Parts: sequence; C-alpha cells; structure tokens
Amino acid sequence: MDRREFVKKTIISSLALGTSLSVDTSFGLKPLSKLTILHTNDMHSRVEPFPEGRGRNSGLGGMARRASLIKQIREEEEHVLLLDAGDIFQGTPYFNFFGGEVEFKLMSEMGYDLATIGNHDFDNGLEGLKEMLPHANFPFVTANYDFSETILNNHFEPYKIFQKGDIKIGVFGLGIELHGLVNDRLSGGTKYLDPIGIATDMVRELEMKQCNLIVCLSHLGYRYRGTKISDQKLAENVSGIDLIIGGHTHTFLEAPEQILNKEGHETIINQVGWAGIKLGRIDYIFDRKKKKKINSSRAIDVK
Amino acid sequence: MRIQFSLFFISIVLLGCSPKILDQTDVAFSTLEINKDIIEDSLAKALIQPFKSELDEQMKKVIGYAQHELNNKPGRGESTLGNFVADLLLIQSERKYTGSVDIAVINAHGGLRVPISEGAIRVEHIYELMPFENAMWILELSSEQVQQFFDHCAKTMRNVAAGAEFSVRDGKAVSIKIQGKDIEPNRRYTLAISDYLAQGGGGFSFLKETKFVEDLQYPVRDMILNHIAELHDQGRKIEAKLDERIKL
Repeated sequence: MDRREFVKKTIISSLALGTSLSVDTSFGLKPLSKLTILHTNDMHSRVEPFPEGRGRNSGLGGMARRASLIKQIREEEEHVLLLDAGDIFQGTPYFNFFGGEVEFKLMSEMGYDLATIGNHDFDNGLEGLKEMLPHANFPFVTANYDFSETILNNHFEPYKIFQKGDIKIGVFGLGIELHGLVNDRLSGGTKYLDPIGIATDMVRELEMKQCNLIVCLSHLGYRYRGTKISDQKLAENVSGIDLIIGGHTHTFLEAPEQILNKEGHETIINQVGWAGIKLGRIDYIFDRKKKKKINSSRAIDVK
Repeated sequence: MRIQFSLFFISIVLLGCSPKILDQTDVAFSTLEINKDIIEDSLAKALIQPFKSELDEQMKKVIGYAQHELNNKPGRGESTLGNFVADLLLIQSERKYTGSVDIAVINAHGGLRVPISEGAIRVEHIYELMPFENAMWILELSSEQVQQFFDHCAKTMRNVAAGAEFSVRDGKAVSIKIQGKDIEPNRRYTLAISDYLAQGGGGFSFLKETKFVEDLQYPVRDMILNHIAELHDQGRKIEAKLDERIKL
C-alpha cells in the first residue's frame, strides 16, 4: 500500500466531512470553516521506530514517518493545529545523549504549534529543559505550574490563542502533581497549583476572549482509582472545555470519550497511547448557526 | 474506528447563515497508526542522521570484557548477574556517599533485563540490561527494618543484596549477617537502593517508613557503565560467582 492510499484508508472520517463540504459549496453558500487538530502525547524520545521483532510495538512509530504523515495532511487541509500533551523526553538513548535536542528539532520541523510539559520533561532538571528550549520553535503552555521562582520564570504562558480562518481556538496547559513523581532536585521551586481551580479560570478567560473552541492540553492522566485528579474528573468538574488532549497514562483510547457533566456541558477526551505510535486526528466543522453543537450528529461505529 | 456522520448539511440549508457567531457543528475522529507503510520524510530523516550516527558510534563503544556470561539463572535468589551488579552498586555508592554503606540491593529478577554475554561489552548492552532511569538513594534502617527488608527479599527471591548474607526458612530470612556480623539490635544500617524501590516499588512499600538520607544523584546504569570501564582500565575482565549469600 502506498502512502497516499494508506492515508486515504485511515482518514475515512475526514473524507466524509470533505464530501459534505463540497456539497455545501455547490449550493453557493459561504464555505464552512474546518479545523483539523492533530495530536500526540508521551512520545518519550522515540525518534526511530521500535526495533522489529520485539513485542507488540515492533516496527511502529518513528518521527520521520510522523513528519511525512503530517505533511500529507497539511497538503489536504487548510487549517491544521498540531499539539503535544507532554513527556517528550526520556525513553531512548537519544535523550540520554542529546538531552532532547533531537526531539525538539524534529517537532519544530513538523510544525508543532504548541506543547505542554510532562513530568519526564523535568528529567534533566529545570536547567536541562531551559537549555533545550532554543531548539523548539513552538511555545509551551502550562497554567498550573508556577515557575515564577525558578530559572524558567517567563518562559511559558498559561494559554495560547490561535486564529485559523474564522475560528479562534484557545489552548491551555495542565500538568500533573510533581511531588512523588519528580525528584525535588529536578523540579526545584516549581509550584503545582490545583488544576480544577486553574482550569475554571482559564475557561472564563478564553470565553471572554471569544474563543470558538477551548482545548486543554493535559498531562494529568486519563483516569485513576480514587480521588486523584484526572482528565475524566476535570471534564466532570469544569464546564466549558470542549476538548481535552491527554497524556501521562499512555492510554490508547479506541475512540475519544465524550463526557456530559452534571451542568450539561460536554467535553471530549482523547489520548493516543505513547511513543508516537499513533497520531490523533480530530476534524471540527464550524458554521454560523448559534446552536451548540454536535446535537445534530449521531455516531456510527465503522470497523 | 468511530466516525460521525451528521445531519449538519441539512441544518445549514434550513438555517442559512444569519447569526454571526461561529459554532462547532460537527466533529470527526480518527487515530492514525505510524507504521512502515508511511515513507519517511526526507527532511526529518536528514535531520536525524547525524545524531543517529553519533549515537550508533557511542552505543557500539566497547567499555570492557566479560570473562564468562553473567545471567539471572536460576531465576530467583542469587545469580551471577545479580551478585555482580549488587556488589558494584555497593562499591560505587560508598564512593559517592560521604559515610559508609552497609548494604546495597538490586531487583535482579525483573530489573536486570538481559544477560551480559562473554566477551566484549558495548554501551548498548548496558542500556538493554538497565533500560530504567533509576538513581541510587541512601536510606537508614533500624535493626527491625533490616529484618523486615530481608524477610521481603526471602519472600520474593527477586532481589540480590551485597554486604549481607542470609538463609531462607519458611519464607523468612534467618541468620542474617551484615558485613559478616549479626544484626545488632540498637544499630542503624545504611542501605543503597534505587529510588524506584526506595519509594515502595517492587513491593517494598515499608521502605517509605525508613529514614531518607541522601539522593546520590547517580543513575544505576551509570554506576554499571563506570564500574565496568574502571575494571577495564585496570586490565580486568568482569566476572562473578554464586557465593551462597542467599542460602535456601
């Protein structure tokens, strides 16, 4: 199977949308706005594919392949947003030897728009992360890590707003509790703030700035037993987040989870495993009707 | 794969486009697998190439030689590989720590992933042997905690210690000797152990109750690499034998 065919086969959903688009324009109405979000999480320095013949991931992944797939999608779609939910670092000798330079340079080459910070991105300390930042031509967002008393003060924003065609997208970042997960000597002085309170503030701010879509790049983890804050708990407790792109728990979700919370807000959670084995793709269609939002759609499982 | 088919097209025709606010009307998902059917991007590949070459060169470097194969046989209790690594962790930890270290431990069965073959040892072998990013910590244990520690070792038979020997009776550790001596009731003992185990990994949850002394900030893998290189500098090959430090 050649690459074109592969891409066509795997992106049936976008073709379905594409068809609708062409029908629409043929009626002479203003074309709808379409946004394609591509996302990764927990790539863990997996620059090259897993070696062949070693378990279930053998031969999968590889950043040069990912770059190729992303390029292909950019040729087909006008408005693409490429995001990563953290833990870029650690997992192969590429990180041990080069400290993240290769990962950041490749992500820059692929045109990543934004990333958040995972616990393993602290593995060479704040100095190690700071030293690598010049290799990334994309920014990082984190709303609940307070770096103000560290050497990374003023290096990160809580959120970033993107304008893609007519669509305004607000993306904020959330990170996991560092205590017990990251050695204090590595995260030294970084303060962890309550994700729920911070997310509530972020939503209010991004709504005030009239974002059409509010996205959370989260390294909290998909779900846990017990009370630990997770993407699921975030969606249940904070209204107004349209999409949570998650990480940390290396969860391969077969389909994104849609959570309708008690206030009636719906949030979609997605996470695509780890090691760059998968690329998540979410296509949004926006139009000029006021009614929110996917009520008129129904889900069909296609194997 | 889950796909959304929607009626949004119809709704658009009905509603027209009078309101000014843009709203999300449809969403579709797909997960794309990165596999060998995707041809590598040439620019990205060119970017990786010099790093890959340097890495390959570094990983292929010979750091020392093994006199014989060191492995985890018989799969529990002491092993040539476990004894070798535990002993070097004790030596390297003591060198890094300001005080003396009584015991060092490695979760040999589970933590040491592949044998060391006879002959040349390359950096990449040690990465395969120890793929984890654990660093060594120093903990301080009471005599009761030392007993508890070796009882756990006797129960699981997954860990190998240096600086200590014991016998296993009914799943408990008896006749424990630390540095050749019986446990003294009122003495405190220093233990060099990976941060993973020290924080309760491998069933060592009771270690969270012990006194944390120091994070040596010295990765286990680096201790192994450096130790083999040091022996090589002295013209020595690595070797280890079963010495009945754990008697069944």
